[in-house]
Amino acid sequence: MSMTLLADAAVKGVIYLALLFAVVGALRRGSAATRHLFWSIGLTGLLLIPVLSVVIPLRIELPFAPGPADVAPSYEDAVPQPVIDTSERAKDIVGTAIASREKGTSDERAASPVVPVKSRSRVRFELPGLTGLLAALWLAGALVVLGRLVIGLIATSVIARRGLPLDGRAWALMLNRVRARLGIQAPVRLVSSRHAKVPFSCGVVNPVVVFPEEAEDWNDERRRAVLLHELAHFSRGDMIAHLLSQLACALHWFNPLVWLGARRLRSESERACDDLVLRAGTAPSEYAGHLIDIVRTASRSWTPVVALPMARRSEFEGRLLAILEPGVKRHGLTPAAVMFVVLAVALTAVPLAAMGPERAAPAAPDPSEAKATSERVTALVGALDDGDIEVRRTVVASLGSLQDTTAVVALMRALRTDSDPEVREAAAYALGEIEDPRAVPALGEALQQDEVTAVRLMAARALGEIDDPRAVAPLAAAIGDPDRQIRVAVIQALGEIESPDAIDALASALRDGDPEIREYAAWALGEVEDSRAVPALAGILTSDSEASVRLKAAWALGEIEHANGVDALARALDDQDPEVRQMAVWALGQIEDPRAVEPLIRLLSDPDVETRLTAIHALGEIESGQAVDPLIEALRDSDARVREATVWALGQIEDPRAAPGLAAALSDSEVKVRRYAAAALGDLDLGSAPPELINALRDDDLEVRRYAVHALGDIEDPAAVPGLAEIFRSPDTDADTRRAVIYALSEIEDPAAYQVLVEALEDEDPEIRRAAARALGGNDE
Amino acid sequence: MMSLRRVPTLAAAGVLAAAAATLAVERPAETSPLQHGASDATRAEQVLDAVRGTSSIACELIVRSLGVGWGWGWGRMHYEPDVAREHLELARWTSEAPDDPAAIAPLRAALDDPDTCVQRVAARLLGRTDHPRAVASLIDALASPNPRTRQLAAVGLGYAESPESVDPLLGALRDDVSSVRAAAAWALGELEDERAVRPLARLLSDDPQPDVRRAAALALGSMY
Repeated sequence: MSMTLLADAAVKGVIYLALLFAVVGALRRGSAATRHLFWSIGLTGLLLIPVLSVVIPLRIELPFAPGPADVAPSYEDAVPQPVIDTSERAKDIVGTAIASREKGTSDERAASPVVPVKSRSRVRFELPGLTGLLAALWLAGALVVLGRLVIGLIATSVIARRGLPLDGRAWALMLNRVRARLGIQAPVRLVSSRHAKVPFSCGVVNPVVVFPEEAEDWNDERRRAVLLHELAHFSRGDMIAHLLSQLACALHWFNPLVWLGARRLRSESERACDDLVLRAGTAPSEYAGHLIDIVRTASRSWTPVVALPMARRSEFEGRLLAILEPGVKRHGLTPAAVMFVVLAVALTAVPLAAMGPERAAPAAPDPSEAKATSERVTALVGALDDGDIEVRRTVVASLGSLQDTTAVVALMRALRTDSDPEVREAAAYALGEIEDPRAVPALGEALQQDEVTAVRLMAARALGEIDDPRAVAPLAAAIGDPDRQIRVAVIQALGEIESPDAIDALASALRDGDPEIREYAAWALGEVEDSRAVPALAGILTSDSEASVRLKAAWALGEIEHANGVDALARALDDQDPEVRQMAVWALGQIEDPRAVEPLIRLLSDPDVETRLTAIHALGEIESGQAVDPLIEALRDSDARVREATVWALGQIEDPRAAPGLAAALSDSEVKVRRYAAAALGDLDLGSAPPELINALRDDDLEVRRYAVHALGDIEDPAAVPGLAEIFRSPDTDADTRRAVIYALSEIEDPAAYQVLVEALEDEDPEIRRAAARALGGNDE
Repeated sequence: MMSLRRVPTLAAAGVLAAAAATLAVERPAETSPLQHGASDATRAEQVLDAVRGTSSIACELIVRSLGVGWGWGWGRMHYEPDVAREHLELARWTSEAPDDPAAIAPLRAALDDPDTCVQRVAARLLGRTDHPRAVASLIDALASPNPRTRQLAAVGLGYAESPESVDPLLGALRDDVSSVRAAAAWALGELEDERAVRPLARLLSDDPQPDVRRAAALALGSMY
């Protein structure tokens, strides 16, 4: 970039950003999504200013910028020359600009504080050196910022690539729902990494959500909230906005306003995603609880610049307040709002960019893409009558790859009338690619009447691709086809379309002689998710001879989540196949019906560890108080994983009767059991803190101590204050735990706690001092 | 080139697996002709020598590794390890895209070589060479009296994807020899230039040769 453009962009950047801050400041009562939109489009506009300055033909003369009037004569003949060739001219312009500022009014000085000139009196004599120095300085700064960005990109991709994939059934299921809710088509990868302390997402095209290792232990609520939040970033395009804002920072690194703007952009994107999670039905208090837990397990985390970590401590309080504040607007964006902001920003950026000396205006005529495509389609359609089979096959394939809907009628004709079966097959394939619902009748006809199996097969698949409910009737009619391949394709297509009209046909396929067909049918019914399929599925779950079919039936019942499936699933708990038993347990956990509790409790004494684990997990999902006593029994299980799951489940049920059992589990030999027990005790809503929990403040494990601190803060028992104070004063306690103690003490509201907080006002750690001040003085910063 | 596209992928995988064995017998791997660090010109000649006299199937295999691009199908085809290594070296040579103009002369000369495989490999290497003179030499070869040379020049230009070859290729659509017209049509599809749409449409409706019409249909479908 030349010095001219740079100086120009710098001055304009200040004005522009000041305007942007003023506008967003006026929006304080709008939703976070609106403010984020302003920031992202605004910062993109900032990036565009130097580009627009070159491209826009229109010029506005300005007092502070080097206009044609006060520039050396060399500028007039500069018009036809390329912009890059400016070394000499740049010096002239900067020189004139600085000179004019020297004798300028106070207004002008206020408007252009960017070029950092310290020794003004010497400027005139040292111009070449100064210009070069400034350019080098700017370049160095920009490179540092860009380097940081690149390192960040590499670091996130390494973390994402090396992370362990989270592809368990529960994760996959939840991911699919969240994707459906947000309308995300792109494949999403979930990984867990020990390098991630808080969840974050990266990737612009194919998102990767990186979870901390603890995520495996989270309950479904938290996983869902975090996934929603992180994928909301993706569906809102936050990553692109974030990257663009980082580029703006690189370009304008010397300008504090751009850093501030980028920071606001980031925190508004977090709030907008928080709003989206809340709109999706998570209770604010619950979500805030998840955030606190995530932040408190994250000790001093480093996240690369390009990632969007879910929670940063520094911005945390504002966010929590925004989440819990009932009056905050949480709506998303309407297309009209987006258009308005783009227009508003364009109306600011374009005139700003236009200020300054005139340059040549290149105007590139845009060839009409649509017209060119239709010309190709017309040529190809004309060749559908070619006498050569090979030519026709290629023509049809080409029409499919152009994916132009104007070809649909011609392709339908080829599908109906071409003498060559391969041309007809290719036509069916192409129609499936184009996905135009107008092709449904022709494809249905081909499925029923074509004499060649391959054509019918392709027609069935294409109907599944087009995903139109009108395809159900022709597909359902073919479900009893003598050809097995066709039946499979038909069932798969019906599973894709997910229309309840397909239930009868699919239920009839559950009686197919071929077990694989029955399996596909059960899968498709699970995809359709309609309760009318429950009786048929319950029937094969209890009677089918093939374990694989029963397995899919149990899965489908869990997907449908209807209470009528409970009896059959409860009976399937005695299935001879262990996988079927486990799937039945999972499905019962999904349905969350109290009738499932009894049979699940019986499974707690199952000899198979995995079965016991899934049963405990399901009981934790159902959250019935009936399970508390049997679960307390299970705390004596010899398998550590079982005890761990049990403690988790008791924390889910939140029944105070579990307190003695959980308190006893605080002396378990297994660290994870102790951690969960401490965390769970905080959730039980107890009136007084069990002595074991206070003792846990001296546990060997740091995490156990932290969870205990938090639990004690939740229980708010003054009896815990001496223990907490001791931890706080001990020189061995780490900074994060001490901060957690401050939090806990501020909750307890006891004179002794007050004393410790006052003491903390003079702590060495500034964060502790701040936290103590906040705790003592309420929420004012 | 056209025959390459016509081979269904799966069938090709089977045939090529067999071909790999043939190739291994033909040339023992320990005498790999490629040297690291040689100049581009030397390496070009070495590559051309290496492919001279290979059977048609083995040549197809080599051409695939050069033309279709990096990493295509390596995982699925179970080569003999030594053969695979040799092919990878060939592919790496092209992926390095020599910019040394000294490599161009031997490659241009190889377009007139009596050996079919040498011709095919040379056309692709020229097309993937990062030097403007490579494109110029391919355009020059498009005017050769030898129809086979003209055809391969068109193929090379399809790989080079240089906008300045659009006009010469449009001229080659009127060649007397159908294989040259077909290759030119394919190359224009790779270039994705709007100026080619109307001539290709005319070719598709009027050319007497099915192979040429087919190439035109393919090109019209690959331009978007």
